[in-house]
Amino acid sequence: MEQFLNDPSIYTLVRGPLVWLAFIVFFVGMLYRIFTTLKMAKKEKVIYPYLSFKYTLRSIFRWLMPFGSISMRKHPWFTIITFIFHICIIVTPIFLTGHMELWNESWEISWLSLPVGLTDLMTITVIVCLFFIFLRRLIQKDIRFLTSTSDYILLVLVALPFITGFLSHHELLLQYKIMLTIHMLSGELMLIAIPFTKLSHMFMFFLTRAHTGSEFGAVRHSRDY
Amino acid sequence: MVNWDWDIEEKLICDINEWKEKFLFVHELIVSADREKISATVEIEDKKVTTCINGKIWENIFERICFPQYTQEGSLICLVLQNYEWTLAKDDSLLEETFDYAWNLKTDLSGKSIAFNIKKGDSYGVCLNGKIWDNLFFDARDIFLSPDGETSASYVKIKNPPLLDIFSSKEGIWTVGINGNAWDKSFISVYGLCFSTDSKKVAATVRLSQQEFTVAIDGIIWNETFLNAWEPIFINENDVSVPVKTENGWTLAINGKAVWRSFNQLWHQRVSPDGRIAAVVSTEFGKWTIAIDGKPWEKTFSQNVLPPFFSPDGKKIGAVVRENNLWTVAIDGKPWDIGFDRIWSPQFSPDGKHCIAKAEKDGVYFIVLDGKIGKDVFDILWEPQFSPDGNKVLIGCIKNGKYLRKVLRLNEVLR
Amino acid sequence: MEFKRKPVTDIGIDEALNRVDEEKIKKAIQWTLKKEASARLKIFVETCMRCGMCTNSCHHYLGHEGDPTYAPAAKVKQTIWDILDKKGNVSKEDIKKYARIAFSECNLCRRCVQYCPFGIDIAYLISLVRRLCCLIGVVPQYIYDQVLSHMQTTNMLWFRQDEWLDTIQWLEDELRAEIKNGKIPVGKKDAEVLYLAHGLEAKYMTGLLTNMAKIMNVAKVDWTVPDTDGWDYTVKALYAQDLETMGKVIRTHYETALRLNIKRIVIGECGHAFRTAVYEGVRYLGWKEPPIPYIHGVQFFYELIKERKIKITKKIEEPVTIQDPCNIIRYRGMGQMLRYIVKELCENIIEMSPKDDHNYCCSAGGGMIDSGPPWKTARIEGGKVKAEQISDTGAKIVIAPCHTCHKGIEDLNVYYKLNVHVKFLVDIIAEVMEIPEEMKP
Ligand code: SF4
Ligand code: SF4
Repeated sequence: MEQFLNDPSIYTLVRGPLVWLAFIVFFVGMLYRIFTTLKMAKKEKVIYPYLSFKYTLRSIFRWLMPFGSISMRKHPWFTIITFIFHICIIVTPIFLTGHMELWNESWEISWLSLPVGLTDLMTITVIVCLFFIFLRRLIQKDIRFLTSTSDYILLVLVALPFITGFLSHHELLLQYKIMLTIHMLSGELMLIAIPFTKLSHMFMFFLTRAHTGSEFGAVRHSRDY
Repeated sequence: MVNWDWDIEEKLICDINEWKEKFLFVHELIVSADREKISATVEIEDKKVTTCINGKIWENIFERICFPQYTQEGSLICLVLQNYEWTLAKDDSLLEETFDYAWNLKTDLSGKSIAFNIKKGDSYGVCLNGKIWDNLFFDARDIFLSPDGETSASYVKIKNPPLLDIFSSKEGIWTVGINGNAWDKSFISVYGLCFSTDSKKVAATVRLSQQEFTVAIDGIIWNETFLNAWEPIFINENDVSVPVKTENGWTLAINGKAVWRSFNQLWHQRVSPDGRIAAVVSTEFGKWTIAIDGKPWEKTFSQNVLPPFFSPDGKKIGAVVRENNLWTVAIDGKPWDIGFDRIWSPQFSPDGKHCIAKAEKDGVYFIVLDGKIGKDVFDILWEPQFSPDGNKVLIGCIKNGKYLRKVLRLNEVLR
Repeated sequence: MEFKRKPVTDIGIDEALNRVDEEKIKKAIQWTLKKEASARLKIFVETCMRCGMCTNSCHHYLGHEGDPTYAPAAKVKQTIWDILDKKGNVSKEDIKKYARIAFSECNLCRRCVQYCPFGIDIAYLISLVRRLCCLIGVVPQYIYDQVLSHMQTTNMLWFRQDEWLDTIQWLEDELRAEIKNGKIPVGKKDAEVLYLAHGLEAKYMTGLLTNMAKIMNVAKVDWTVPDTDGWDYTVKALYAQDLETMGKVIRTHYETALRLNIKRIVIGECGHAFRTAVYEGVRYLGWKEPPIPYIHGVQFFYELIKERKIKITKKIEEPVTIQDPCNIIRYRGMGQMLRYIVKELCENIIEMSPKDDHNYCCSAGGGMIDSGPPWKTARIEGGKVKAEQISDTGAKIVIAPCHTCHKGIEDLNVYYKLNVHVKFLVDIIAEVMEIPEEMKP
């Protein structure tokens, strides 16, 4: 295995075409999911006529603002953890210096990158948060009841790129190149998985909130938060 | 209509204010078709009521008067309670037969036949022209009269399972009773009873199970069933049309076969004098219009569309429509450009060139002719009617408490 | 954690299941989940992150604290997810469990929707479960009996037409003892307002109808009640998700108003009827909004009091609290109107916490009280948090402008010994409004 991962052609594959593939699958998959959902929603007849831009925004705003909803106020710890977690998980990979170099190398694009120390900290934060989320799933009765194996697999799927990224950066556990290959592979795997697993909630969130926000705001004259 | 007085321009029939002084209480006013008579139930003492027509009261005194109405011939009929028994009163004379309860008074088009629902002991049925059905039932709901006035029908309950016996009720306990004879089959639900144009046949929509609806004609059901169905109508002596729901949506079925494209909704199909079928349809969610032979008007209305009506030659089709919280009339897909709080049964002139209606805005009533508001406003107004030649309009109205019968020349209405 | 419940017998479920075959069950599932449901079902199931944010929002969970099988998402897991997992191959035992969850452990109050980060509409998903149960023919006996009545008579209690007319007539006679020339116009064409009544107002709770009539007479409203079927505003078919019957009943209400050329429909204090008439019913029929205004008792009283059509002479002094019925508050934002009315009627108001659109369901709504005696315990247990809320206020009167909340809280009152009186607005208004001298007999 180690031999295999050490093979330069594997590295080239993972570093090159697979990245492309992952991004294409991610974006195309996401667009496809959104498109099919919107099309299905049309069939339901009662979705579009009631959509309200104002209340969609209200709903999204409330739920993207820390403690913007009564639900978040009732679950302060979980809210803090999930907000930090979600911010870090999105910001870290996009603004990581290492990634920036790669992007610059391949596509000659770059933007602001965060200091390495900070991204390092954020990576650890993601891992720690994931651990808490995992514990919560395991310990809290009502959540454990809802949980199935796939939920744990998803946690691992999300954790892997961060753990391996951290390890490779600090050249721990395995040889740098190997760890880096695993890191890239797991990152690509996660990207590919997003549109087809529950991770799709990252964009489905906006669609369900548009519907529920409009129903509550424009039709029911009450709050959905 | 032809022998109505179309010459006298204005007639003061009586002063309603006087009634209000004379009697303890004056109930709703009703007028005869020729607008010559106005009447109301009036209270002489507490729980002593009678009918007052053009200021004169009947000799009979009752505890209650219900369903008062004028027949086409101008007789006043009503169901009355006298000495704790119900019966029919027609022009101050009473039916001999009495009932434990009587309701839903109805006359046929000519006004000669009179029928109503009755209760005798614990049995229910219909009394048609003074004769009670031979068979009575556990329940009878609503009353229907054939166009020729010979046949009466009602929804009847032919089995009476105890309360909460859902399984027996689910097998069907309702059917149609015609002149006292119930159909053999019973159903969970039966509705939309109608007669064929020649009065010989009866059709109704029946529900067989949760999602099986069909039409029964003289008790025999179609082979086809549908996911849902509304009220049927005969389009001639034999053929029955009914809005039905299929997997694709609502469509019109004739004799069991879907004949129109699918709509989001479809009901109130009507046959025009020239034989076309028009119905209220929803082309897509929240958009309503009229479809003629399956083709909808281009213009749709967001709030509501009422059943279509036709010019005497059938060429023009109109409907009352609602948009932006106002009612108006649309003719052949074009709405009038003013809206009203309410509008009452618009009517085409005999030549089909004009359309007249009664409307209300801000608490006053007026005539609307071809989308233009008439010059007069009224405290109360009854629906205007065209003369047979179409040159004049007859109205009954109340101004300053006085009931007036007026004949307006068409060109006077607006000016 | 297992789904553990005390056995309950309901012939509408148990006996009905004996009478169906597996084929029918499969067909009903296919139809409901493939043909009737689509985007919402798919997205809600796929997007649920199983985060448990909704758990504590549900009074049923709070009434059985620690039992995760009562949590909102858990109810979906044990029904919809289960069916999807089994690809529709479910047993009669499964259906029995689904029916129990859908009919006796969820009030469709949508409180949990407010707590879900994704706005997942649990009540909608539970409605789907009820819908497929209904297609199979599995519905609690007491609900089904009322639905069967609706199918033909439009009313909920097999009332004959003469019974309705007769009731109105003797109620009018009684009204005359208090109001000179008091009248309950029946089938009056062109009136401004068509008043529809709750089925029970015509039989067991006629006092409500008399009080409404009193208010109408004093406020000089040009009103009428139907002289035909369609007088009863209840639509129990909503609870069974018998959409076909629901559509027919709602259509009858609107067509009755249109036939009489009425400006608007006014109903009394009822949640589900209002909700069905402005959402489920009109949507099923294809209207985006009610074809003519449909006014709830709270909106109507608000108008009468605000416009001084009725005058309040004395206020209630005992401490009162307000029950916010889900179907008019969370479903229509009438919280402020309701508070305006109560402030006009009462001196001393102590609010529940939480209140307004965040209030808890009474645990009787969504058909639970209509499921009848077999399911009473489920409703009482689910009402624990409501009982606590009420007793925390220390109020002596609970104003509940909804028939279901009213009866539900009355039962909680007895069981949890709350020592309160539950009142409708109509009763309080009729009690404290001024009857002008000239209207007294
Ligand atoms: S809060 Fe929403 S996403 Fe979380 S478990 Fe409940 S339904 Fe699922
Ligand atoms: S009862 Fe209300 S809060 Fe509980 S699951 Fe049902 S809709 Fe959600």
